Amino acid sequence: MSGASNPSQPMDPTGHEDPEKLAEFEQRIADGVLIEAGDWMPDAYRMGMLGMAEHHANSEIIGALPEGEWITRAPSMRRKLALTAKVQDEVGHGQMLYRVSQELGKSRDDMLRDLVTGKTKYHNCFNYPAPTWADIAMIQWLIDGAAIMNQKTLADGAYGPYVRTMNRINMEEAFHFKSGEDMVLTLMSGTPGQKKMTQEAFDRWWPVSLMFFGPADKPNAESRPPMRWRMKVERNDSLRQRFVNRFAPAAQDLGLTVNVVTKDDKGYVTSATPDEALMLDEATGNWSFTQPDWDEFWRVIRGNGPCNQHRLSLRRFSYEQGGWVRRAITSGTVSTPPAA
Amino acid sequence: MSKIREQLIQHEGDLAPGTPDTEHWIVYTQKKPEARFRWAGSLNAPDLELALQFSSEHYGLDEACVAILTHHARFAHDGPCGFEPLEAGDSAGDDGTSWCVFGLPRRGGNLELLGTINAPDSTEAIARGTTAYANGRIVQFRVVPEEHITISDGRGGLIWRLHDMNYKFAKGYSKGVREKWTRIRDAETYEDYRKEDIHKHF
Amino acid sequence: MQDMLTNPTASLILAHADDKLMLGHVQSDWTGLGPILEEDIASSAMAQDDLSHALTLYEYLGNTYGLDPDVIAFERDPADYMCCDLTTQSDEFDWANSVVKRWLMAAFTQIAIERLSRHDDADLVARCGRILPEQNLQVTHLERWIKRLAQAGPESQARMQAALDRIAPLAGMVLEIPGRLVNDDDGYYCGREEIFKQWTDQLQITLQDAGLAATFTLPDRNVEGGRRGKHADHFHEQLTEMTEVRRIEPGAAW
Repeated sequence: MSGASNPSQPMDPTGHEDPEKLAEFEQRIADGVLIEAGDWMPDAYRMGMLGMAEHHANSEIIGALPEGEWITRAPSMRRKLALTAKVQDEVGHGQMLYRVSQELGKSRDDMLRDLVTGKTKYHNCFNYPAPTWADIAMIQWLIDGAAIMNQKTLADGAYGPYVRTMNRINMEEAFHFKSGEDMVLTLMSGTPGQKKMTQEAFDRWWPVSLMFFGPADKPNAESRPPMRWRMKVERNDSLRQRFVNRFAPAAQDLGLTVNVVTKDDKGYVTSATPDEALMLDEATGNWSFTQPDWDEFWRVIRGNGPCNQHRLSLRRFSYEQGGWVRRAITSGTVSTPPAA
Repeated sequence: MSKIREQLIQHEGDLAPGTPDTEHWIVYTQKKPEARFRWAGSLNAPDLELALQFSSEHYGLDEACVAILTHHARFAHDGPCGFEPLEAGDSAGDDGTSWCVFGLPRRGGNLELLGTINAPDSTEAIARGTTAYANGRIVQFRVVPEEHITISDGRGGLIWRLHDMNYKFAKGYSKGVREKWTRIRDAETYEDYRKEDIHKHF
Repeated sequence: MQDMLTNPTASLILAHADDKLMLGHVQSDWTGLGPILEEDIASSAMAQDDLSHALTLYEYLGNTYGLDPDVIAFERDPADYMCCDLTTQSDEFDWANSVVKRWLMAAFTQIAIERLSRHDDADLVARCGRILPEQNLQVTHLERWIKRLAQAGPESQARMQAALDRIAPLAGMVLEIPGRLVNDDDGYYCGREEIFKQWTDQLQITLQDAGLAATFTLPDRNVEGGRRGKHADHFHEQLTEMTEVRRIEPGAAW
């Protein structure tokens, strides 16, 4: 799961770079050439890619937590196996993305420490609670669905090592999405109680999915580094629109209602009314919809979401609990190969 | 949820000192016998024994494969990455030790094992590799001394599992999803939706 | 269900399947929380192996007794779960406990499944044949970790020895006669001593290499524990958690 939309990425295309090299670099990117690790690149690009890959990696391993809570409660052997494998995939994606980041110059341990001490961020959507089994279905259907859309565009980016990792990750996301779709379909073909549970989970996750892509980009996004350097290739609003076009009609067909909701500070829905704005514009093929609560988005991203503290505490607990194992394997008796 | 996820033991104070990253290993997998080994990913492990375990338990189970190739990143020697496919050179010879030659078919693509070549050093191995394998289809070469390559082909222990692993692949859900959707939508609408899913939306 | 629970062979199969279920249940919960990302992934793969092995044995019993494998896995009376006391002991989320427990169980199960694979039912033999190579993988992986951690300095050595001291006393309960409803007057379960010796001899070789020490004892045939439904509180908590979702809507598809 997850994506890399980091809304507050500081990027400074500095003037200290050799202007000729910079121009050549930017021309290559404009021509659609991919950058490989050995190529010349501006410092700001290297730092930006590191920040993006690190944020993405953090999101994968924090993203393993909400779903991880339900492995012990999965309601059949097959679901238990699937959920374990799914969460394991997130850990695997985290591991691969940390490797991309390590090659850009930051150690794994430094990244894990910065994450658990709150110096670096992870994707906002994991700061919401998953109080029922239907939330797991929604995370895999909506959030993984959103993540695939986002990551498909990231795989069209310009940084070769990130692109090749993204392609590999996307291959596995198809399983996550299909498994989520299967769960949602099963629940919505089930008992009234299951349907109710599913609608409630949908109400919790629909606005989070809309926020998934991040707030609207600045009007000149195309000329600013993240897009100019093809670190990202599509505007957040455009991805969000594609998401709604795909999922709003599917939800309706399943018998789910797209609601506009208010939530309390624990992330639970306090009111839900059908989204009056939701309709298909036949001319454009686009569905109009009510925007999520962006004030809430900023509140959560600043650390005041329903689960921020719990997610970080668990991550820190795991990091500290495993410290002795890492010390053990780095402490001496192991041999490293000689230099070539 | 399990107790531990709810009732966390909070360690007091600052974090204990960190640990250095362990060694960096690169992993390639072979999907079918005779197929080329292709780059799968990389990982950290303190030594070869753990590197091999980690590579088979992660990359060996991501998609069906019959063998896994692992080497320490330190032994990889990369030639420059071209913007256009490289032309074959004229370096040739059969002296020196054996090197595995990997080629990158395009920028952002995956390295593939093309074969082996003898050469006295890495520079010459890249040059001879280019002569032998460039063929206008490779943008970058990597050479690794064959003695530092380890291939696990399942003979020393299983890689791909024997139990049904459909639960962890999309194909394991396709039939069920189709059946459930077609109870809601007709088969044709579902088919359009599925195709559109792949081509347009995802 | 009753036919299965009173049958000695079925009970033996259930004992192994339930061990695997509970081991997989606990280890899968570690997914995302392990000490090293790479090992987190590897031990989650092995947790999936355990759950898959449990499933294949439940399927076999399901076919034999006309039961849904998920009903066997999730809907028995707690006293009819036959997992042993070693499996259900909490690892307290301590990696040393986890590794030691899984290693002791894996080595035992390898021997037990090998014996089960000499059964005369071709389907059961085939299922055991698929389990064994995966079981071997687990034993190798865990043996290496036992040795590695025991030899990686005083902190790590002490943790491994402490885990062993905590867990070893319960280990012999793997050979408890399974099934509270099974009549064992005919001494159906033979070879306990032989299996115990084979298993502990193997353990001692690894422990010696690792520089760890433990004593294992085979409890008397009459000592009753988890295999005959007398479970510690921890197991009841685990089972309640495992069945939480299913109990919301009994009989529903999930």
